[in-house]
Amino acid sequence: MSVLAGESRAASRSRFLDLRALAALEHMRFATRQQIEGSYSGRHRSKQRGGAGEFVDFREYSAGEDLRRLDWKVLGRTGRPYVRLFQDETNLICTLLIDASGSMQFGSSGGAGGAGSKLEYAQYLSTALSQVISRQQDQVGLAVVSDKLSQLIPPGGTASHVLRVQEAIETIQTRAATNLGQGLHELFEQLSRRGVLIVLSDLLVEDLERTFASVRLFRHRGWEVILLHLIHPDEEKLPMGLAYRFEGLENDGRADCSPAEIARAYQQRFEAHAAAVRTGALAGGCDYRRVSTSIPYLQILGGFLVERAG
Amino acid sequence: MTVLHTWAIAGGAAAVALPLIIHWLTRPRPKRMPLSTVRFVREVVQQRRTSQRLRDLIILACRVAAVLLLAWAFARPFIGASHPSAGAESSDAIRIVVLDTSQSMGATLRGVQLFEEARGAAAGHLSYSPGLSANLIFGSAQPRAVFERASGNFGAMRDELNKAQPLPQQLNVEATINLAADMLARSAGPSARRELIIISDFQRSSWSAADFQGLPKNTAIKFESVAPRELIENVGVLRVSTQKRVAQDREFLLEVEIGNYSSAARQVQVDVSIGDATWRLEGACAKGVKSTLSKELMLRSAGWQPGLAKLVEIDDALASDNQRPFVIEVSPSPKFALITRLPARLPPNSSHYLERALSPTKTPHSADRIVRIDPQNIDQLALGSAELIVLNRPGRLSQGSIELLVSLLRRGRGLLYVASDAADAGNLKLLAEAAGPSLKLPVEFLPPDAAQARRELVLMDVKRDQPPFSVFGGDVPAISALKFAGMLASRPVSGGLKEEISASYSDQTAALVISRCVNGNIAVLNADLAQSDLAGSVAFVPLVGEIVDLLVGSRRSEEALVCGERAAIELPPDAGLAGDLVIESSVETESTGQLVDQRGAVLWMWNSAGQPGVYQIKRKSAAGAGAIHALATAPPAGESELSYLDASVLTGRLAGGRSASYAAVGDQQQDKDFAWSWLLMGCAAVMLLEIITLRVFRT
Repeated sequence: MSVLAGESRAASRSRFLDLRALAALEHMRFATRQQIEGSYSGRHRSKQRGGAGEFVDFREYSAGEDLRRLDWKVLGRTGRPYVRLFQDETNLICTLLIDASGSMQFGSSGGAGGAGSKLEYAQYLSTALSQVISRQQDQVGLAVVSDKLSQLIPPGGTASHVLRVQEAIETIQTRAATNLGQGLHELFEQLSRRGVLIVLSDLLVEDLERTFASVRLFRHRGWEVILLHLIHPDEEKLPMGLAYRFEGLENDGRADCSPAEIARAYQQRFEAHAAAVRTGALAGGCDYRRVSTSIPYLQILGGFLVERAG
Repeated sequence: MTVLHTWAIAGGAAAVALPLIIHWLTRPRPKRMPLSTVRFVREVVQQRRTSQRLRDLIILACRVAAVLLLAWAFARPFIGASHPSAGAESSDAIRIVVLDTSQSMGATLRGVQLFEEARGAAAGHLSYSPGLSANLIFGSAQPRAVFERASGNFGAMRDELNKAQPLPQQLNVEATINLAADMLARSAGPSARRELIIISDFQRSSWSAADFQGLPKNTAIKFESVAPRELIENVGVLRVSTQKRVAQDREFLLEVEIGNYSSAARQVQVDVSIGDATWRLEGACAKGVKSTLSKELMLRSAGWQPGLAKLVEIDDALASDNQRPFVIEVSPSPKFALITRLPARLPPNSSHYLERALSPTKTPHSADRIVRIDPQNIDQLALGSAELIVLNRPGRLSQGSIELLVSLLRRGRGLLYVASDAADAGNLKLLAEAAGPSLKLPVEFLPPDAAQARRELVLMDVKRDQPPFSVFGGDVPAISALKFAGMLASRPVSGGLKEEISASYSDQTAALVISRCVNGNIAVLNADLAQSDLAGSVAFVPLVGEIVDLLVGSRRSEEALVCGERAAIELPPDAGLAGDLVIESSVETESTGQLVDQRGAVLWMWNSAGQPGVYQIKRKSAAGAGAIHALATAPPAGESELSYLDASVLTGRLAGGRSASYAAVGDQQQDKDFAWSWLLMGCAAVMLLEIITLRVFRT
């Protein structure tokens, strides 16, 4: 069966894809909070109204779905719950935007359960997201932005497309400069159909206002924008010590100081920035999530999916 | 400002660099770390840069200041004059310390003697210091140095200093400065640093004429004064004396001079003790001046009488001048030798009148006082023992008699010649010729002109303000009513002194002439007592008495010898040999002088007159007998006035352009040597400021 056959996709070669870990999220689905416009029948509510559409396929039942759509005959026959998919259910078009600016390289080399760089975290998270999204026959695309839109894989749903997306995620290289607003703007011009934009970024940009202006473009066109604000714990609090020479990752110079002397003021400054990001995101109608890279990505992802489903 | 320990300054300068070096060596090497939010760090650092810089500057300044203040405190800076302990730490230096030990230094103020303050100040200058040689001079009437030359034996100098006490003497400033100058010149090389430190009260009476020109040119003079700022009140007995010779059984005027150097007039009482008797003198003494209290006394015993004048119930700054010893030589009633041809038993001849006038009162001794001598048979022994030789109508005297009289006159006998006839004129001429230049009568007496009777003459040109006529005061009628006749004529002698003519007659004839001949006096009373009414007048006895006093009692009792002064006193000719004599004192003292035989006389030699008291020369063989000579020693009267020179006078006029500094001992010790404690407090304050700064900037 196409659904079951769809489950036996070829295993991804991305090192950021941990199928075994994702098995725990097998039953979870990525849901949108608004009506979408999709090409194919999917689980998302379609903007197109219609009664019974043409039967397309079976899909395994997941908790919370409407029981009226349950195929009792299949249940009786196989002992497993399946739902019927009709033409009136459309699929999700999701674009993952990953910030590949130099600041995303910040972070330790990582360890068991520890936080790696923000980019690495984003790679794990985005790869998992692509897997979840593709598993529910939704389309997923990729945009990589640094000082501009450096890479774009338009959304697609085939297994090979997903593999391509995951491979692209795996090979992301950061660039010293950052201009997220410009990259978003270019992405906006490239994408024609509405969908969901998931931004994975630390939002350490010079001009937050421009960035959110670009975000509002998507919103005005009806996109759902989800902002995952990645923060490394070492960014929230400066390290302890007498003297440090902090060197910027985006050619933004260096600073010598005694962290103990400025710890409090720095924390206040950083939190002010984070609050500005949140405010800007919420004001722009985005779904904002503050993500600490010290928390395992699967935990974040699980909570994110549960929250969206509920 | 001087610094006691200059090494501390150098050490401090090095120590100032220490915090900087430590700061540089221990500054943390920054750890390099990539940070995505370096923009935020820069913003914060920029924001805090100003306050951090300010904080760092304050902290660094505080630490540097703390080190500097600590080093300076260790250096012991001394503001004003040099620290008493400062010496030539790295070069030769010679220091002469002069300590005033005169009587005025014994004054006390609020229970503290000025000398004790001076002693402490002097001790501060006699401490060991590398390269320093010193000497201590005790300033007094005859200054004394501990060593002959400057020495490093500070222990011995301090021992001498501890034993020193103020002396009843006046400071001989000139001798003291000369002694110091000699030591400064002799004791060090030309490149050595010379220092003269004078610790005194700088009493005006001693120091006002000080001259420092004799000091080596590069001598730094330091005046350290113990004089108090306020007036010190003092009353002292300055002098005890008699106006004239004191005779047994005869009243005399005793005078006691009091110096009231206080802020108010005082009613002063003085007890005068002579022998076993005591009299009290009392009177008002005005403030700031000397006053004389006097009293008529009579002493019954002849000989040297020791006495003491003592202030009663006086509380003042200087107790040592509240009493003063003295001696009075009470002469026995004078013996007269009356050389006359006139018989004693045939009144009323002039010799009878004279005899009565010479001894007007009957006393137990009066009968022995007058010896009648026949001019043709002069008893040399009797003549020699008489104090006054009276000649009345002796007739023509032989040349031998004349020469004898002249000899006695030269040696101190008095001679009263009542002249009236031609023989008297001749005798007077022979006397003048025999005496030679040693006797210059102002007139030459001439025999009266037989052809011209001289009668009804009165006294004119009487010197009423001088003895002997001053005894009458202004009562001239007692004299002016007298009528005279039959005396000698006279004519002035070229080169004669008119002042020696005490009275003249109305015809310009000299009536009374008093002249001096070496040690004796001669009075010529040109009057025929038988033909004038002088002898029968009330004026005759007092007039004769005054003439006798002039001829015999002109020598007052000697004033006391000043303690500490040198003296050489010639004893009377009848003292004998020095070996037969002994000196006794009324006070316990080792200094009584010594007796030496010199050129037929005995000299009482005293290098430094001893403690205040009475010293008597007695014969060893005559135990219990009276003294053959005596004198009193007493403190100098000038030490009683406790007024002091101003600092500006010392450093300006008296120093004569030399490097001179002035400091008051009490203020110096109180104020100037506490700079180190203030510096330490400053250091602590600066360190506290650092802590406050760190807390304010929250580090």
